[in-house]
Amino acid sequence: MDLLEYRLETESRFAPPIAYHAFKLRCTPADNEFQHVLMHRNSISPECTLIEASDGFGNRIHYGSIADEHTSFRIVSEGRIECHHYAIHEPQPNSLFLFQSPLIGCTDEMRETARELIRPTAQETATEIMHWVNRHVEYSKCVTVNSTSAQWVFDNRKGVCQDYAHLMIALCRAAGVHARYVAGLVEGEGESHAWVEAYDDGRWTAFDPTYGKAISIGYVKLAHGRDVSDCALNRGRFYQWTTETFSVKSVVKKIDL
Amino acid sequence: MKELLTSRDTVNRWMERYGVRFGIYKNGVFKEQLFPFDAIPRQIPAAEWAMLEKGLVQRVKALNAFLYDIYHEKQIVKDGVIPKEFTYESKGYMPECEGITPAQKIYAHIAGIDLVQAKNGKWLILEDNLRIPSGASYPMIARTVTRKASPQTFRDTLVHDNRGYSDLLREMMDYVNGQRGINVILTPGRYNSAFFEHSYLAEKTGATLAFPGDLIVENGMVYYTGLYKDKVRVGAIYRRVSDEYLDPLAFEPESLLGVPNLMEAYRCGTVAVINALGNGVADDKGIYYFVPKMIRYYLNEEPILENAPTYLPFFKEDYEYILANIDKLVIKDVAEAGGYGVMFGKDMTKERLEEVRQLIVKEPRRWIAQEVVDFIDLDIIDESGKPSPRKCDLRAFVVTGETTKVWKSGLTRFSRNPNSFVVNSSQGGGFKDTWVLCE
Amino acid sequence: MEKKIISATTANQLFWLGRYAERGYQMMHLMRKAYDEIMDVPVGVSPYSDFLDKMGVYLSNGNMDTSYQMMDQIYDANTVTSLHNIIERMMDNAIVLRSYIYSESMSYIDMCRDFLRRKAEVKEMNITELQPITDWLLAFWGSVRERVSGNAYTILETGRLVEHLDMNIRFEYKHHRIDETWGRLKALMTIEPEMFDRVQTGRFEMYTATEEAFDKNIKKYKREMISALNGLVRV
Repeated sequence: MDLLEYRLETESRFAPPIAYHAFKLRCTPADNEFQHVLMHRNSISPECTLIEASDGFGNRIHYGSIADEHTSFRIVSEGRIECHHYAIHEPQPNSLFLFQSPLIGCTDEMRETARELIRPTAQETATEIMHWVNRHVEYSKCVTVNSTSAQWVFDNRKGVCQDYAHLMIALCRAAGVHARYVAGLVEGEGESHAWVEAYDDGRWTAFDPTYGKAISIGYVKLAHGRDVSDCALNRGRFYQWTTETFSVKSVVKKIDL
Repeated sequence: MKELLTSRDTVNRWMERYGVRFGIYKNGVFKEQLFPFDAIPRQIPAAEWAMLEKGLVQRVKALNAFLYDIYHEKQIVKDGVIPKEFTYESKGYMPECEGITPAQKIYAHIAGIDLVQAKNGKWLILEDNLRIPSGASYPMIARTVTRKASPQTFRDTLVHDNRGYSDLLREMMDYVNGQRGINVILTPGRYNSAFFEHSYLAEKTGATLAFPGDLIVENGMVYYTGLYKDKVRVGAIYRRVSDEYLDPLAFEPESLLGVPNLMEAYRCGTVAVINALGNGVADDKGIYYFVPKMIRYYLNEEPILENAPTYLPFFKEDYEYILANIDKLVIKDVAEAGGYGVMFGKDMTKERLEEVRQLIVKEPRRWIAQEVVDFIDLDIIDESGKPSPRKCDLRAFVVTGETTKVWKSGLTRFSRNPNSFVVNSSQGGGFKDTWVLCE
Repeated sequence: MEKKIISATTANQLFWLGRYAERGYQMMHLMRKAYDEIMDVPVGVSPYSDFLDKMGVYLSNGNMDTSYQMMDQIYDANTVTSLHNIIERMMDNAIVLRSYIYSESMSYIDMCRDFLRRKAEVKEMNITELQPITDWLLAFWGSVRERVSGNAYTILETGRLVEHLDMNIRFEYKHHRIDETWGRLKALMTIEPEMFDRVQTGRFEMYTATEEAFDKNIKKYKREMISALNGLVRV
């Protein structure tokens, strides 16, 4: 067991300022068998009422709206987590995670690749696929966007953590393994991270195709879904013309017991 | 009846006066045109209607049960009655709706069920429309007009009045609203093809016609905003905006037609949305095949109304049948609607047939095949003033509030050309009133 | 029945429907007058020039044949000040208000539009042929008065009175005519005070304060008064 302290800060700046702004956030860790949330706090500016709810996948969300004019929108989510070995038990997975989703489709060529990576168990297949993706995709910033599809990554072999995750999920599903996208934070300093959960024999376990390793500890999970489009950490809607600059800062530290 | 048919000018004048139009886009330009009306009604005898009524209520009950099941326990999939491909791979399935129980557990408040009558007199179901079925306003206004134009006709023939449709709607809206706020009809705006209907139904039901931007979500509740920061709570939204545009924070992010965070208010049950979100999973052309099975599964009854004979290439037996008989069948793309993506084997060249075969081989889940149903013709008065036969279908409207009721009328659509089987208004057809006879 | 709450967009549409419907009616009236007057205009003087000038139509020189411009003022939908354009705008607003003004009232606007569209194809010079437009607009106002109630009616009527004043000022009506309409508008202010801008109300009041000064200076006041009028209602 580890004790982790996390802090996630997202900020949008608007020039010119905007008035009515509705938003939906996924920046609070779920309390589950591998991560027990000891304490957490959200601070938001400009100040407004945050309503807590959960989405169709059971992720914790906060939503609300700001009516007054503002030039920036900032959320800090921070807390302390008791962290155990990464596994989530579920007797029967939702078959949804076996099929295509908005950003994860499959071409014949991808199906062919997936077929070659099939191993006796789902766990082994997922591991094989993870290594394959890690080996064949080159990490490069600024070549992909938020809506880049798994097919594109397969064809171009470039991208960031989100793209690694998408491709791994696409191949897992093609190989008959339930797989879902996870958005969260990883130990250290940086931006938010993305990885994959795959299902085998009654439980979901986690894989990090970007680093090419099975996940055990040191990861803070915020949301899961079919692909990134289900897991946006901060989504907003306003109706005026403006330029938005968005920044994310994440810190996860192990603290000594 | 003769008087009615000779009063065509009076009828047309009144139709124009009421602005019975629908919008179409031609080369990117919005145009409104009159929806051509033919005064010869489709008449359905009382006994025949009684059977249709029972069959439609049964079908809609099963569809509602299916929708609840699919977004909760998924028992019908677990029990192997419906393959999981036909739910999760359907474009209409929305994972965002998982676990949501809409007000009074109703999903398909307004179901538009399309039927045809075969030459042997038997009625067959062609399609279920559980998202935003439109068209009810046209027979309502046609009745208002034809009664003005020819009172004698309606003295001679006893026909169920169809103008109570707005009462059916209002009762249903009040029931799911549960006095939590006002009823609104949310329209995408006047450049929507069915804007006439939105504004007409708002007038007739007394609901407030809301435009995008009039509604906001605050503290988990939906409000209609008035002038000078007034606001009033909304209890039920009869939305004519499709699912993917309804909440830019949950779906299509660029949508200007939606209400941000409406999904959250809906999820926590502070507002009823008519029809429910996610209904598309129950009305595409693939799931259609399974509706008779749903009726047996959920209601433990035999279906009263049959589907048109349908084959799914997804099943091996059907697959082989389709490939062998493709020249006799109609092939439909499950993801398309409105008369698009429909191919008649008999009209295709050898090369084209082979191409379509390959499409089916490649993506069996994407297609269905049906026997060509030779459905009956009804006469219309054509432009030369003479009777001329046309293919017609019937869209029946089934409204579910406290109980499930079938509107005693319906929209009868006819094809533009004598040889065409396609009756959609977007493809240039017209409509007739539908008379349900009192005895 | 509960009082219907009206959104900002809808209020704006009601106000403008009121203004356009009144403008259409007033234009018909003033055009009939202009047509009557040209029978007595000596040869060589541009016909309709007074009407066109007051409507704010730019006249390039005194010799051109203004009859063409007059035709455009009636039938050309692309001329912003034309009757045809006004009636199209009227319908644009009416079509989204069906549930507030009901199909019956709406049908009169619809008929005006269809009628004028047909007439625009032949462009008859004799304005008497357009009489049905006046009849239907009167029927529209009668129907609205009969059927529309509450704040929806108040907003429509406000639009109507504002436009009535606007046209009367443009055409330099006498003080007693302006003052009477202004009195009716002020009565509406007591019903929906939030709708009216105080500063502009004061401004308008100032110009109409004395009958003598008003009648003498109307040409001078005109622009200022119309500007006050356009800022008067906040919808």
